[in-house]
Amino acid sequence: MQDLNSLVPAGHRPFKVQCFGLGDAGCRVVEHLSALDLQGISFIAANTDVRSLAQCSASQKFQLGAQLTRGLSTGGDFNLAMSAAEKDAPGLSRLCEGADLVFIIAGLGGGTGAGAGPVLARVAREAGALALAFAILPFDCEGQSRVGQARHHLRLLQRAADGVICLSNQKLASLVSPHASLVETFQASHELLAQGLRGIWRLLTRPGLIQLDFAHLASALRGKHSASAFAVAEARGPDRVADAVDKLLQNPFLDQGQLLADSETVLLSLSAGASLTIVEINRLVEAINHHTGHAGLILGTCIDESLGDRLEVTLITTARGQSLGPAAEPDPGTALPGTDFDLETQLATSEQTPARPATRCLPPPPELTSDQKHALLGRPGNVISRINKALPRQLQIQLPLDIISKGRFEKSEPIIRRGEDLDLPTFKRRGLVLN
Amino acid sequence: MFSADNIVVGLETGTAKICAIVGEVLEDDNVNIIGIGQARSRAVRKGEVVDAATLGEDLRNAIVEAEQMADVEVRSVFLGVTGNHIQCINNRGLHTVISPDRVVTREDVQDVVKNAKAINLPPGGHVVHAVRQHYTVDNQRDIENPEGMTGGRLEVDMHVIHGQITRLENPIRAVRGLQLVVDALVFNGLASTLALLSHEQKQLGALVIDLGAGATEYVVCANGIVKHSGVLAVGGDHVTNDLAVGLKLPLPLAEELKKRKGRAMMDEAMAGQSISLTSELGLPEKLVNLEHLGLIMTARLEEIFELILEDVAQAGVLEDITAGVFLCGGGVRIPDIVPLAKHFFQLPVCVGRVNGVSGIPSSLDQPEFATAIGLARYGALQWKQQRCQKTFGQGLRSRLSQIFKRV
Repeated sequence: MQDLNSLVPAGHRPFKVQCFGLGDAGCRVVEHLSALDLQGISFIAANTDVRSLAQCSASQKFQLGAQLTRGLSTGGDFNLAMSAAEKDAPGLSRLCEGADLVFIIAGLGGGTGAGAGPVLARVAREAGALALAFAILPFDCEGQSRVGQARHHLRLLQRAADGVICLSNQKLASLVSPHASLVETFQASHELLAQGLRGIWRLLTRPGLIQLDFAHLASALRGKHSASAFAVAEARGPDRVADAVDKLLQNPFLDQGQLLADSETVLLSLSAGASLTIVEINRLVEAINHHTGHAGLILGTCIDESLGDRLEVTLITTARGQSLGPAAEPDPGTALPGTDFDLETQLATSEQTPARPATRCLPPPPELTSDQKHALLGRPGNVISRINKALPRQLQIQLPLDIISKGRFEKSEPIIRRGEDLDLPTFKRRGLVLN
Repeated sequence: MFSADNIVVGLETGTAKICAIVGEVLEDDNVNIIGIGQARSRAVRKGEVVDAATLGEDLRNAIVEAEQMADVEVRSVFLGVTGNHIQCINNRGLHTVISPDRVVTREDVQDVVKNAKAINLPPGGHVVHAVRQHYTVDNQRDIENPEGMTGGRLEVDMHVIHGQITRLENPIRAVRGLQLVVDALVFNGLASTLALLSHEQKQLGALVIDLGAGATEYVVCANGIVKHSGVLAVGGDHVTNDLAVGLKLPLPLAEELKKRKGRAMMDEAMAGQSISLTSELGLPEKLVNLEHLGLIMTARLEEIFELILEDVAQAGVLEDITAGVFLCGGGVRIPDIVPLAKHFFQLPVCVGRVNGVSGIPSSLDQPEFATAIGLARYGALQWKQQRCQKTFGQGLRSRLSQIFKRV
């Protein structure tokens, strides 16, 4: 018989969350975020440009590509940024070590964010963390080439990271008043990001009445490689539920609720004071469900006395769509055996999502630190470590079952470009949803 | 019916239609179109033959129609080819001038061109075109004619277009089956370029995109030479197929819907709209969401332009395009295709018009005929060259042999 008392605390150590700001845009956001009181998240500003790094007030700083750019910025050259990040991959990997969740905040219109983002996401995943990227897309007025480049890098980032949450500055423009100054506009952009991040952080750290935790987030995001979006709304007063729903639907990032209809999973996290009633929760969920169509809704609620009569709703949606190339997916069996969260994630994933994540050939398992080894070896009879050992063998490789018809080109020679069969309908390959 | 000596025929075996254009070469070496023959193509997929016997029938229909219209007998054709197997590379040839006075002679030029044509082809490869670009004499670049110049090191760049011999032979066999001679194989993209671009545009730098039904060809011309070319075996058929899969329609209905309601860019007015389709078979009518239609079409067309842009940028010739992008082929009929292309290339885009050709006006305005007209134009250029080269005796012999072959 297992001693359950000894098991439980071993599984629940505090979360380690690393938040990277890449490039100028990322560093500014991190600066903004580090001023907020978010315990348990360590902020790291990473940039190639030493000067802007020096001005940044983040607690930790990391210079990318010291030899390649010699402290200058990449000048919009994402290839340079990519090689800089590749060179510094061991350093980045050390920073990601032991983290459960890695946030990557990067502006995709420039050089460093666009080039280093996918590399960092890969490194973070290899280190066993869940990589969640916040991608900031440029304003349309910044030029077509930048917008096009950002779109391209978004696709790269989607392949590399577990989840990407897009913040389109252009969509944001409709949110701020036309008289807002540039500083205010960027401030609004940072604030929005901060809200999203805070929402996720609260979801992870606060004990909930209806629990929504890391495993839920991971199961919603992991292996999807899709563009996610989030919306945060706050309301108070007697009509706070209706207000919050209105605010959510008006959020430009949700395309007037359109995105909800296209989403696969919707994570809904409520936080309010002790006055929260079950009727309110019910009303809110009904209102959201009305818009989501077939999406699976995962609800979490937590009571935070400090909120008073305020109601805060954080909503994260993951877009429907096939996973972009199974090659980019990490094998669940190779995740750090030391972190029990990964096991939980796997168990949660296999329970909740009917489709098992596709697997790929195994990269060498990551190095264990000495205390991780200790933790593993120290509990020989532990259920978790036993399951952990058996797990890689249990997983069977499964090809995606989604058969897409090629119609009239069924029997002709396929046309392969960029690893895609062009005979397959483009909208299917791109995961566009017709509803 | 009479048979004239100055008749050139361009024959395009397209995925949607077979098109034969009969032109007569005028005194000033321009082409005058005197006959057009068309037939629906049933045996071509993605620009390549899938059923030789049916293709023979279609070819016969098109040729007979063209013969009747032009009132001439077609003996030989310039045959357009395309397909996924066609590839293009730029190759450089080198030759050292050995004459004591270091003057480049005609033999030197011939040698260097021969060297440049010698490329490592994949097994079964066949060179369709080797288009000369510019010469370089002792690092002095962009020389059009090096003969008579002094220098030690003579180089020339060649744009070589090659394909799989077995797949090129399929349409040739079908044409020969009709007792016709194939004068030359011509890459469809080059033919369209010949038809659309004026001399100035070729000098300035232009990108020609032929949006066909089965394949999309593109050619970049700049400084008067062909810089880059390529085939993407994706075309209008793919759009139809996407619609059929996405909207769950039978292919003919999807094709009709594409022609009637298709748009290259999403339109505000399309949002939330739907139309009902009736089918002749008495099946229950189907409601089709126009927004989905737009979404599916836009995705495919965007992808085509994206891939072309990527390839052109990779070849490093994007900066050479200054005159703009010229579109032709049936795909041009899709409304809003020009703004979509403009959005992608960030260059002036227009539907190309055939120039340097006279004749039946209705034929010249159709973007679908650009390739076939270009083939005839290519024929005229070849005809002119041959006339210059042929001696009297050779000419007589070939004419006699032609007569006997025909009988």
